[in-house]
Amino acid sequence: MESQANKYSIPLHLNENSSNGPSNSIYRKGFAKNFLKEAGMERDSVQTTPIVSFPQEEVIHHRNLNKNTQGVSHSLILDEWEGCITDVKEDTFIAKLYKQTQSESDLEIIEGEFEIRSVPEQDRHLIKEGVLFYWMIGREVKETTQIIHGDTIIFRRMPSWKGFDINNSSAITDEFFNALSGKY
Amino acid sequence: MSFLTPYQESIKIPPEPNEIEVCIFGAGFGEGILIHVGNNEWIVVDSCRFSGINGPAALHYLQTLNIETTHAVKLIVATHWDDDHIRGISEIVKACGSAKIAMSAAINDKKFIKLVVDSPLSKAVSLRQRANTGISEFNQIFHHLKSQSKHIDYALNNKMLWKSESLNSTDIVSLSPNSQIFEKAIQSIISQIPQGNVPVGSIKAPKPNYTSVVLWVRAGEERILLGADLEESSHYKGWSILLEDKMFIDKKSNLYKVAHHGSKTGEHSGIWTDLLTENPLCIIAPWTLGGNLLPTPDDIQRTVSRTDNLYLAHQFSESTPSTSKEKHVKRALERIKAKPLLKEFGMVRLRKKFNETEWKSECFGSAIKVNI
Repeated sequence: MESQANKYSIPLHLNENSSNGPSNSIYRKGFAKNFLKEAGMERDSVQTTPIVSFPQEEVIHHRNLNKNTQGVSHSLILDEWEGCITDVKEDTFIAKLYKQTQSESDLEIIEGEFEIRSVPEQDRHLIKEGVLFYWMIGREVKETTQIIHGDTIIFRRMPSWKGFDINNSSAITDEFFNALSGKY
Repeated sequence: MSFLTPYQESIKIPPEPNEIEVCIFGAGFGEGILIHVGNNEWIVVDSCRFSGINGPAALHYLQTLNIETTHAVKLIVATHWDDDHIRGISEIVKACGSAKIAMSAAINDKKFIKLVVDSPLSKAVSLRQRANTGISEFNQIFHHLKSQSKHIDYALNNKMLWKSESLNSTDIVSLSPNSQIFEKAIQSIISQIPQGNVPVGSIKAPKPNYTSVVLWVRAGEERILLGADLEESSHYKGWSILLEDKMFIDKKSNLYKVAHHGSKTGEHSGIWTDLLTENPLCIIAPWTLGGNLLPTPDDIQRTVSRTDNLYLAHQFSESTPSTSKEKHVKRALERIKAKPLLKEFGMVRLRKKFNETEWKSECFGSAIKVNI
């Protein structure tokens, strides 16, 4: 039977210099689980398969994670980016990354290269140009005061294109087409 | 943060009514152009943003000059929907209420409009905002124009987009795209729409870029060629077709916004022989993505073999993301070899009075003149 931890199994890069953080699988899975829980993400929202209908598209809100959780294991997201894969190479993929921020003046776009092996095998089929994901960098503070630093990739929900036929016009399309052409 | 530094107070001085001005903004990953055709009449072509500056570059600059944008901006042209040309243009459209809006006629198609206003992607607001800048900006423009009962002027070869007689006779004419490519352009977009449940969340503009709107500006005795991102490839002769049919071109231009960031694919010898004077003043907005950089050193060599007056709206330099200083964040960014795409402000400003012969050039921020 699949364990709860496995359900939340997310690849994690542990900093080699992390204080006290043993890089065994239990800690890795625990980190990711807490990480997602603190981020307000239920299991459904980290499914990597496309969702079927709208409006379930969401932005994850987790701005107030730095709460006082003394004595309790908790996670803190230090930085969060939304990525769009722009190129896939043999061992790596390139992505444009948009910093998740509320302020337009803080708009920040970077480009990064990720190792494909950092994505779990069951998600690697998703590594294609145009696919979106979240990249979160954070730390987990254990109740024993151990601190584990790491980052994780979570593929985004995608809109389902099933049933969408671009060749069939719709009332909305016709309305916009006529309005934008000056045919009111 | 603003455009201004203690050494660049001159940026605040607006052009005189009898002065023509051309500004090109370069953000490293972004290009925008602003033209003053005289008598406080302005034309905006494409849009970009700078890191650390609120609002689109053109709007911010006009505000710096204390220009009231609602009536002063007469025409806004979105040459194509690549996200390095479109970022912030919907905000400009909303701020310039009396401006005409022009876009490539290649997108005057129900399939494209359905993609923008009535597709799974169009309803996924958070997907649109970042990874689909073109669709997001067009979606906002379409809704705004519809609510204002305004329409789009679709640009195609040899079409007058705007005309003014207020000071100098001014025409803004589109020289491309040609209707021969419209079906091909739409097919290129449709081919990206996934079948079934394939998780694709981003739709891009057609490549190579054969739908771009090249503009010809005729203001008094001045002629300006804005090459947009029009490319020439073995499969589609973007510039060749344009050069075959150029009825509005009465004399050659001495100012050229080099096509497609100065790349080889934006090059055609006929541009230099048929459309430009000898030794024209040339401006390029550089571009970077996927480790690629335009213009390449070869591109610059090729361009300076044509002109002694080449300006770059942005000079690339080694820099690291200005994000959090937290050391673990920095380590993670280093591990993915993070490079900032959206960079600091760079602007080339060219001005002259209509009765003068020489352009006065100024480089602000990271912009430079290329030394031959």
